[in-house]
Amino acid sequence: MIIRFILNSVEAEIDVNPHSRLSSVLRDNFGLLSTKESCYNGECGSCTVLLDDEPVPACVIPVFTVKNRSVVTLEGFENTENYEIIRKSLKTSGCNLCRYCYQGRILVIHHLLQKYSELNDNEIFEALSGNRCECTDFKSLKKGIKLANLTINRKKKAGKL
Amino acid sequence: MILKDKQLFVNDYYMPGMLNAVTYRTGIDKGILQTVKLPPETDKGYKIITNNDIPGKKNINFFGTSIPILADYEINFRGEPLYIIVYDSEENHKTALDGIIPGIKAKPPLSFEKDKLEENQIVYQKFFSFGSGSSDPLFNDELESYTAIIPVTDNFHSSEYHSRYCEPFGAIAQPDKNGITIYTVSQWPEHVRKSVADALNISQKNVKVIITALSTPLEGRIWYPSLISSQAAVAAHITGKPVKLILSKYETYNFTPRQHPFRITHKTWVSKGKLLKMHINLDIDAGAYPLIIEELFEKTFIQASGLYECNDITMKLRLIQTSKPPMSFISGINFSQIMISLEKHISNIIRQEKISPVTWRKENILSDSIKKNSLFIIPGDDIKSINSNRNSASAILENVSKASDFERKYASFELLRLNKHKNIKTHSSGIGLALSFFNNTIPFKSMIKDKLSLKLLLDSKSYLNIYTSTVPDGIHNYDIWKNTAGEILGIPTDNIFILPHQTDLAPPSAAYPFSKGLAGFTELLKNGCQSLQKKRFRNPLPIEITASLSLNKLSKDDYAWGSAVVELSIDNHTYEIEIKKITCCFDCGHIMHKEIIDKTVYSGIIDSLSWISGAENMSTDKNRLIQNDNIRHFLNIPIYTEYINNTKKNKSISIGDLPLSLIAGAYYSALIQALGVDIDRMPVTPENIHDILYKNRSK
Repeated sequence: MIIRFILNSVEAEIDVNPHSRLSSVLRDNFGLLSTKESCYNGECGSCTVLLDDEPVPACVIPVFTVKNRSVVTLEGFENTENYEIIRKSLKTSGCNLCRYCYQGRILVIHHLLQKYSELNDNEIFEALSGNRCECTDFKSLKKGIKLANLTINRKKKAGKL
Repeated sequence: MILKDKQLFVNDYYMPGMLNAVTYRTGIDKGILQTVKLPPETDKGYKIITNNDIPGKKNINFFGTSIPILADYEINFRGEPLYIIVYDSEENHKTALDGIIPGIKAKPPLSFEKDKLEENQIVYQKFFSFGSGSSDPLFNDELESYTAIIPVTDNFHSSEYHSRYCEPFGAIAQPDKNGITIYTVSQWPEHVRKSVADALNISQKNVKVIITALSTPLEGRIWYPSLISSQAAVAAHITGKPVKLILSKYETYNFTPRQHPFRITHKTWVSKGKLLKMHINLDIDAGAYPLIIEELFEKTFIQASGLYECNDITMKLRLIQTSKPPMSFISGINFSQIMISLEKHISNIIRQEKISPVTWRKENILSDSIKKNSLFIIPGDDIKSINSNRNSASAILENVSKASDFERKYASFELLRLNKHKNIKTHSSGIGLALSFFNNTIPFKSMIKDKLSLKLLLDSKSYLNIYTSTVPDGIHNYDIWKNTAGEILGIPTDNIFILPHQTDLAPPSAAYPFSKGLAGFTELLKNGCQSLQKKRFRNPLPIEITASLSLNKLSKDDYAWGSAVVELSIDNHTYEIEIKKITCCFDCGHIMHKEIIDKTVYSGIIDSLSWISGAENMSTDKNRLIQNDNIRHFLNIPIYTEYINNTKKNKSISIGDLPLSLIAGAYYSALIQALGVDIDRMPVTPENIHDILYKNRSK
């Protein structure tokens, strides 16, 4: 089955088994290796991608469901200014994410920052509970997210974003 | 081409013509493989590899314990690998899988339960004694001098401890004309290389090991990568094509090494607050292939008897073989659990004696005169005592007590406990304190000749390249390495590269977990950079130097110390536990990187809490993990941490699994105070609490 969709802002077309996992298609057919596969059950959060700007576990998404929709992976997001803000904020707060959960967490954080302009702890817990990696402590992660939130708000006020 | 700072996990590698492989595992706990019917290999779509196909040694060796690469005749645990199925497509995989019909005669599994124990299960038994200690192996309690004093007895039964990995566990083997290349994640690449060479019956020179990226610290993955790599290597050797063998989450969780439970009984005779005599009975569930390492058991004795003054300690240790997956060195060999039970026991003694836990601990920490005797001697080594550092212990106890307002709260909750029948409330509160030390850093005697090694190359652009086959606990260590080298050589950290750990590029190096890890390697890196600095202005660039540090030269008497206070309250109707606050204080010498140590402590605390409360379990019937809300709840707990350095001014000591044992020890003490009954098991679930309370009420 031929499936057409927007992948990282570019029109993509692929002829695959429609029931293949989206994560496998992204990795094997498009070579987008930042999408990690781990539990294959949608529980660990390593394979998170943005489907129409909503974070979803790509390992449980059959590829036919992305037809005519937009998929963003870290490769597509890492050229944006928001990515730089998130990356720098996490680094400043001492949060060193491992490369296995990196993409999932970054995309979830991006979605969180887009959704709320003012963040509280519960919203952060809620958003990040879908990622099970233990490479970092929650304290510094939370600090990093709040810092990113602050930076984005400031830039928005100054009209730079 | 060498990819600098590029992180590719084992699952990210792809090679042209690569085949996939899975292990076919047994579905029974114990038995004998009598017959087997394999599907015909009419085409080349799949290949089934059995034990007979292994060209070299059929076992991998780890400290004298042999673990079969593929089971041949005897099956010792559920999930033991029987065959490797190599396939090129899912269809062929399914055909091969459906065609395998093993004829297995089941035997009764070996159990760890006391009443089901068989004589032949006890693979190792030893009596340890210290001081004036009675070497009475029968543990006769009727000794004359103690008849008047009633001993305090405590039992504890721990639960399994897993190390959770985010990235898949696996290996890729790529055969070439010179031999074979292995891509895997291991903290002991040299062991992988040796195991693969032995399995293929080729020279070690023909095996190249490339360490792929890792996410969480390796812990249990000491010898297991050697097993997976050997399986992948045999498959690649036979098929002549690259083979990728990746374990599923279900396999990783259920069939890879972990720490099994143990049973411990502490029996202590106490008079006027002094420990007169201590008897310890310890049964360790050693899994299907027990690791018998004498030095480990000596360390276990040190851990089980603790750092409290007692001149008469005896311990009976039994290592019991069961039908469970083999053990590994996850947080030592039950070291953390043993500390938990000891601290729980000590807290119960203190409670009975009606003394302040802080004062009692300060007064009863081993004094310098006692440490000179024989307890803290590294087995087989020259007589060297381990520094008990009373000052450090007292200082951290003082800090943690003041920071948590421990004395006042303890007295108040103790009063509530004693008058519990009068004060029936919806919530009961408790506060617990634990003092512990980290003992898992000394390399074994058999490894004392091993060296940590590295190669430094300062290239013509003044970029520093670090080559080593020593793989650290996590990528965070690289920041410390870069900072250390950058400070000495005056090079920006962006110009320092840690090259992928490859056995062909870097000199052979000892395993990281056995070598005081970060502290040892940083010392080596400092030495290397200083040598490079000396040469820098005399020799033209590029300059290359190789440095090594013998494990024997690493200080053996550096123990990290820690103390923690846990304050909690429990709902008397639902038994839901709410942790109010955690306060910790550590003495782990000079802090190299504050953020990293904070991260280690914080992650250790969350890990400890999820372990105690059984927050994560794999369901037995489905290939999925079950997570309750506990972990999210833990994330919200206020945690206060403080570090002091009373040990050595500029020396760093690994903190290791200290948070794991400390928090659990304090948690149990607090829970016992809140509930008013002893909690002797893990995990602490509402069901278990109800069970214990029910039994106590019926008594």
